[in-house]
Amino acid sequence: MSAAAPARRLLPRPVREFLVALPFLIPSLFLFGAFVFYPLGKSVYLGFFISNPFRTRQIYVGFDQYRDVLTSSDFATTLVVTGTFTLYTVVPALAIGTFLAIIANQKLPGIVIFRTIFSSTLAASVAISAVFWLVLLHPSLGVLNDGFEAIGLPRVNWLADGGWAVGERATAWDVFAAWFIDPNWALISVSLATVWMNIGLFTIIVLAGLQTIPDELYESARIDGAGRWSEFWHVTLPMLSPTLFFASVVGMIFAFQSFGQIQILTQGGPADASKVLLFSIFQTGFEPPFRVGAASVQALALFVIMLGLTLAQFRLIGGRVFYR
Amino acid sequence: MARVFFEGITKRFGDVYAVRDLTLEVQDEEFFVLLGPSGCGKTTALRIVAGLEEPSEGDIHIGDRVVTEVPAKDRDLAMVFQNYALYPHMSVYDNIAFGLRMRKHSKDEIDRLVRDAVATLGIAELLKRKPGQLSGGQRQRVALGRAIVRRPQVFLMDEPLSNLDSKMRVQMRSELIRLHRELGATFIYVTHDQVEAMTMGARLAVLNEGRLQQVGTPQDVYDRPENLFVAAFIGSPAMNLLDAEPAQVDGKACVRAGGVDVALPDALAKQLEASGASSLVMGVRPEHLDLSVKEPAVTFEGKVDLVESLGSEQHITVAINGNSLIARIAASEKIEHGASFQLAVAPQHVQLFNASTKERIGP
Amino acid sequence: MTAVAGATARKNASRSSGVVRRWLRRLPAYTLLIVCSVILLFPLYVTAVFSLHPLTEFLKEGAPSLWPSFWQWDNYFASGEGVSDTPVGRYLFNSFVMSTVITLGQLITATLSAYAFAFLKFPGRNALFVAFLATMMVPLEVSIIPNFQTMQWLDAHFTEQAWLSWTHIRFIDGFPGLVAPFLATGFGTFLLRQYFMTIPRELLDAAEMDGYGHLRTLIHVVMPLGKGALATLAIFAFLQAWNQYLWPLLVTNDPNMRTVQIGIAAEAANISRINVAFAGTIMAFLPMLLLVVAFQRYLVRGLFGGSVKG
Repeated sequence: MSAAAPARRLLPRPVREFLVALPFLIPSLFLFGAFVFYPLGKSVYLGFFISNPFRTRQIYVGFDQYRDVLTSSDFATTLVVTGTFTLYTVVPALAIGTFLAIIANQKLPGIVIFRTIFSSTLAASVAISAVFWLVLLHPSLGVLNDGFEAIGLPRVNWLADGGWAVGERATAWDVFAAWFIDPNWALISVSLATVWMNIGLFTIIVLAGLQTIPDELYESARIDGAGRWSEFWHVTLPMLSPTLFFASVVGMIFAFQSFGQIQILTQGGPADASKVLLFSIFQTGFEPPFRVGAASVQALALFVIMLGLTLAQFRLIGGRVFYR
Repeated sequence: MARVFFEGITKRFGDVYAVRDLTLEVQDEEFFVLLGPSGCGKTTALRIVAGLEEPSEGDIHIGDRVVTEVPAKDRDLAMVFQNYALYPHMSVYDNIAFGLRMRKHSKDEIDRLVRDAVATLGIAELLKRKPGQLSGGQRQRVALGRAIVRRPQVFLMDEPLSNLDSKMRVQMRSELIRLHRELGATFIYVTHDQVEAMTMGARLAVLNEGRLQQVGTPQDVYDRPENLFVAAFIGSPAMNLLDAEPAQVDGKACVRAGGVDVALPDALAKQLEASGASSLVMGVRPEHLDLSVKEPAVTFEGKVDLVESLGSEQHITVAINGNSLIARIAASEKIEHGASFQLAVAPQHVQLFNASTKERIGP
Repeated sequence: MTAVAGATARKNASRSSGVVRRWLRRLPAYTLLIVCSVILLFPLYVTAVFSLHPLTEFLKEGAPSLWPSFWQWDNYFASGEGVSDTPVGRYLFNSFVMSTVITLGQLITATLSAYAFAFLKFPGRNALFVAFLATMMVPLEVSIIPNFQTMQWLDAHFTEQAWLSWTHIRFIDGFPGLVAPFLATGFGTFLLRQYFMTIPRELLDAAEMDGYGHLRTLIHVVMPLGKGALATLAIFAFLQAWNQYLWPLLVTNDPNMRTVQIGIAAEAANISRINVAFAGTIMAFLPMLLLVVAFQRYLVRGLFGGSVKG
């Protein structure tokens, strides 16, 4: 021990403390450096270059590529599709998840079984829910059209009808009107699979939120003579609003990360009608002619959007998580 | 062999001083108490001895070895924590054996040592239980067992009784004293409870705001507090403290407090003159305020403000000229609220402090 | 007294009819719950039925039957064309290995770094912690291009350089490439740190006094106490890894290295084996379903970053 003492004295304390902590942090730091921080910088760098398919030659184009990609009409279409997809997935999934959570929050014998069923779709991956919905929407195998026919509705060409997103329309107004009268069934199909998958997650989140509402609020509302509806509007919904906001941000982040269900169900088609931003990045960068630089620019755009969403989420729940 | 010497220990956390220039010697096999209000630095001082904190300046000596740079495990000491720090996922046996396993004892030896320790503490039947299934007193014993099983030269105890109910605390107090006698090791015991400090400590050190105030036997510290902080901190009810000033009566030095001239014993009068202090604080212990006037004595007159009966005695608060005095009076005296009242104090029980330096004046 | 006695008597008399009435009152609620469950589980049901059909059912005119007419369990198990004979068995194995390695990797890296952030004092701790949190804002989807290039580069090095090639480590079409980007986790570090901070400091002090170094303290004191948080992280990691789609698609070309997610998607496009593809889908879904059902408590805790005590 006495031999060790002088050795310990050689280094100032902060340095010693740092050396103790370093082995604990090195594995994570190395991996984050290699797979998170370095790629971010590399993406910015790649965005400055145009390369040929085999990356044997790179031409420096500076910010021109950023400008070209971000102002292209393809990118605009992709953003519209992504935005619509987000709307199609977050709003219904949140509404259904909230509904299911509320009916599963009753005090009834065996209610746990229903809570489990309602949250079970959380276990499904994008590929699995895509296959689950393929059996409903498939052009020849799909059972949903048979059901539609049985109740007198027209058959729908689910996966292959791009609706308003396909073909020329003269004005923005025409596009907007077509949004309602000529549905983009391909995008709706992809959204259905996504909504189904997200219902479980949202039910769990809202159930947890419901359980934080103190019973006294309901009791005092009942004493004040509130009915079921006014209980919902005046107690449940206001108390639940932070949870719903949190869930919708999570849903938006998921929507922007969606890829698998689209690749499996529609391959982004028909004619880009279901090509969301991430699918566009994949096509641009990983399919011929391998426009890696352009794909990087799109990826950075995706990053900026998701960063905004994540920051919004941190602002909301961050306080609760950090200073509990 | 296991004398513990604090040599000029200072500990800073950022700009805050937890301990300032603490120099203190704890004798071998002594039961030594570090006493002070919360935040006075006593726990930090203990953790520095333990090796859990490094001092910013100064050295710790244990025996004749400087251990400032020695890791905690090699200092040959054990610590009992305020919250016992028992591992909730381990049985009592494993909790006690935990430290031994690191020290390359054989399995049989560990078993023997653990059984010796629990026999000493009377918890042999608890060995298989988890800490969650134990009462506060039992946990306390397990924590002690974990310390004594290693037979260290020095035991460090950080308010070990503060989480027990008052009855259990009294019982554990006497058991700790017995344990100390049996083990013949050095104990350093941190507490904010003056009763614990007075009853258990062979000597105690009073700390405040990181600074050492006084070291001595409990009686010493009680009878001759070296400054106003110690005077006010030790004793319950606390010492009466009155603003006072030096005066002269018949050419003899005395003090004027509460509108009364208090004559002083000769020795104290000389020291007062020598100190040259211009403003004073006069202190009188509540038990030294008496109903019957025995010469020579000084009497304070006032009205009874409050009577607190404790059964065996009563504490009465008397208002005199804007001050109030607390006196301990026998329970047999009949005292009514609002009555006019006389309290007498003998000159040899008067303590004086310099109001500006806050230091004691007198022998 | 008499009023109370009378009420009790009435209650006894009407107890049996009271039970019936209570259940009748609950009937609408249960009906609603059951209807919702049926609708929600319908896609799963149809896929399960399809996975038991013989292939002929899919080749005939019109949609296949919604009730298994033939109960062809061979699609799952047996000779010729069941899951175990198609690559689906191999896909499941690949997914299992990949998910297990990712889970273990995350547990190790996150436990280590969470220990440092929770219990060690060192210069730059707060800045580093913020950097760890920041990684949560950069999802892998954003960096697929550079990361794929990294994998290509590593793979080329490991196959071309003589001093590396003997290891037979492959980053394209190999497990190292499948797992590498997921071995560290900001989320997991955060989750574990939050939990570790609730462990009383004195327990660590006591271990230090007993001569336990940081690594032993971590293993013997902190990890046993943090079991719940570690389980939460493990379930999240496994579920996410198992359900990965984009990254395995990029770094595997060889059908033998496909994960089950890529595999079933590929099989589902092949009408000549579609019943087996459906069986594979059910097989890929069931383990995760069990995981979610069994450990829902831990999942809820994880979703809220450890701030909800499950």
